[in-house]
Amino acid sequence: MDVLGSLAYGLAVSLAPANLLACLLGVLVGTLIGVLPGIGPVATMSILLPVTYAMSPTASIIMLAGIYYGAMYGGSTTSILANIPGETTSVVTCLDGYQMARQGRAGAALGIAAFGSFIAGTLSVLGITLLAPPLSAAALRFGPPEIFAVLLLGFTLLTHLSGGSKLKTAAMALLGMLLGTVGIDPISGVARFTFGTIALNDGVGLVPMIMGLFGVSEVLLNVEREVQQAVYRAPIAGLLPTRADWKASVGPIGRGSVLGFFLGILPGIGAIIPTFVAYGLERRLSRHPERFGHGAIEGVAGPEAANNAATGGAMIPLLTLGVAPNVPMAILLGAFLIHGVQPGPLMITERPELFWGVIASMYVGNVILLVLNLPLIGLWVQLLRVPYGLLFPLILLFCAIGVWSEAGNPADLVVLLVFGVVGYLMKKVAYEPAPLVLAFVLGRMAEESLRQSLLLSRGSAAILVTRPLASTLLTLAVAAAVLPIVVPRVRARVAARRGA
Amino acid sequence: MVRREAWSAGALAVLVVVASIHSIRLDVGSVARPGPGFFPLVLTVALGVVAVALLLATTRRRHGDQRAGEEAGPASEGPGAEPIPRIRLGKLVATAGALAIYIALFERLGFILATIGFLAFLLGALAPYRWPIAIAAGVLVALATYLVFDTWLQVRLPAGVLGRW
Repeated sequence: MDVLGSLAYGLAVSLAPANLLACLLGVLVGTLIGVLPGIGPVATMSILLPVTYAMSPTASIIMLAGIYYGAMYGGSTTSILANIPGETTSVVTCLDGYQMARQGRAGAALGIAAFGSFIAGTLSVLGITLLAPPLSAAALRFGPPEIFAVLLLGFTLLTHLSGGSKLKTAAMALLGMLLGTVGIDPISGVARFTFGTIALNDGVGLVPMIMGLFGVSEVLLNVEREVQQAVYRAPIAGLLPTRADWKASVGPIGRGSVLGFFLGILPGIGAIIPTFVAYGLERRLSRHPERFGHGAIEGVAGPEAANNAATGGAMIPLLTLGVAPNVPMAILLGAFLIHGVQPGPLMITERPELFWGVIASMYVGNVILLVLNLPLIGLWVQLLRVPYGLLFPLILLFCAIGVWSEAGNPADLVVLLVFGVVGYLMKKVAYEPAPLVLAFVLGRMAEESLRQSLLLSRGSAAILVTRPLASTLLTLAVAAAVLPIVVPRVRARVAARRGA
Repeated sequence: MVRREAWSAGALAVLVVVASIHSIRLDVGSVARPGPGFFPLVLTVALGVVAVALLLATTRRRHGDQRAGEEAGPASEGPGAEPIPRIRLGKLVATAGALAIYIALFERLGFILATIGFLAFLLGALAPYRWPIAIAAGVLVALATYLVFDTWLQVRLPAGVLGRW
């Protein structure tokens, strides 16, 4: 099947009533929680993961993916109207979006965020459509050594490219991998780090851990400080951007889309970093960089395009390799496995309805988001006025229900509480939870692939360097680890010599 | 801030000691034939190195060395590092405590009763709602979520005390 035929087939799958409903539900819930600060797509996807047990695999994945990219749309609304990021991916949008709102241009900011997201979302799905099939074919040549090398590359990128302290990120990644080893070792059958607790034999649960780190800890952080809700109150007019707005935004949207998409593919990046990069890029390219921070529409268009495009890019490693490049994709990977589907190079041929259905649903979802969101903005504004005192007990309740519904295991609730408190403490000392969770997921895969490689080669570590693909990837990983440290020093030395 | 940093690095160091003892007790094996303890040991050793580096960075920063501070990430960069105006510790402890008690009673008391108590407490004591409203909201939400999740979505929530009737 050629790409167009496959896509038409996928479109037919995604337009089947049950799948269309799942898509609608996903993007609606996604926008809703995107608008609400303090609850993000990661917590929501984990809460709803058990709910999907009763659905078909295709509908489940369509819905969960919809939550993820839907949240990218919703997050900008809160940033623009309340100067509080609805999502971490919309932190940058606050800078110029809120300024635009204060200048009476809230409509234009919301409009360009929605259109920019739509264009970027659609372009990135187009990117998946074109790139996923050849990459799946290439991924067929991936054995355990190659998977291990890709994961290693992911870890180095994770440490170097995430914001904040590299040491802390490294500590979190190592801790995450260590947590991933808890439970019965899949190869030898020995219990590791369970300290005699039967509940830990299956390891630490991903869902309760995520909900603790992202849901409960966020609530704890918010209740201890007075949350100021200064929601923009004037009526919002003129959601359709003017010709001048478009002229200023076309470039940023285009660049944001490309940047977000390709950064999103890389493991360990997620959707936050691209927004910062896009903002920095637009400011650097602008003829009037001083306008940034004072209501420049480019500062809304670029980052909003980037975060949506990144969600699309992130689907590629998941669909073609079965490797989750960020935390939401790790949940999606979990959803695939729960429904008995192993995402990876074989999925495109073995489960085409799922593969193409999910991709096509993202086109559909982006259209729904654009059509629904512009008229619904008034509703989202109302939602922003829901006081946090009412919201946080509900968030905690849904975290508890979500954790319970996964397996009905009381130990999982304890894990939820423990990671809620740990996550709270971590944020107090500026340790990020995302690298921990990602390393938790990837660490298990890394250990398995390394040990499988060594079994394949009968104990010779040379297998990692003798296979061309694996050695290339390993070289990249080493380069990614070493270059950011070496290059600035060399540059400084050269500059010093020139100065002298 | 420096003190907090030192505490967190110290906590990591303690964890490293416990984890390394445990992984050595597991079969470590060799590079060619890694046992179940191999990967954890490699990780704990690496984590130990990072923890020591973090500790060094904090002590160097205490002595006012700016460069060390940059290496460990400027304190102002992290979300938790910004100066927090007023921490309401009581509310924080009450919320975490309520969640802990809720979790402890979740199965024993049953979903509906535990949830009513949990929500009524959070809304009545920690949010500015009057008690009758808080309790009514607790009952309403508990019943509604039970209907949606247990009856409709077939998630089996514990019936607890109410189940014995």
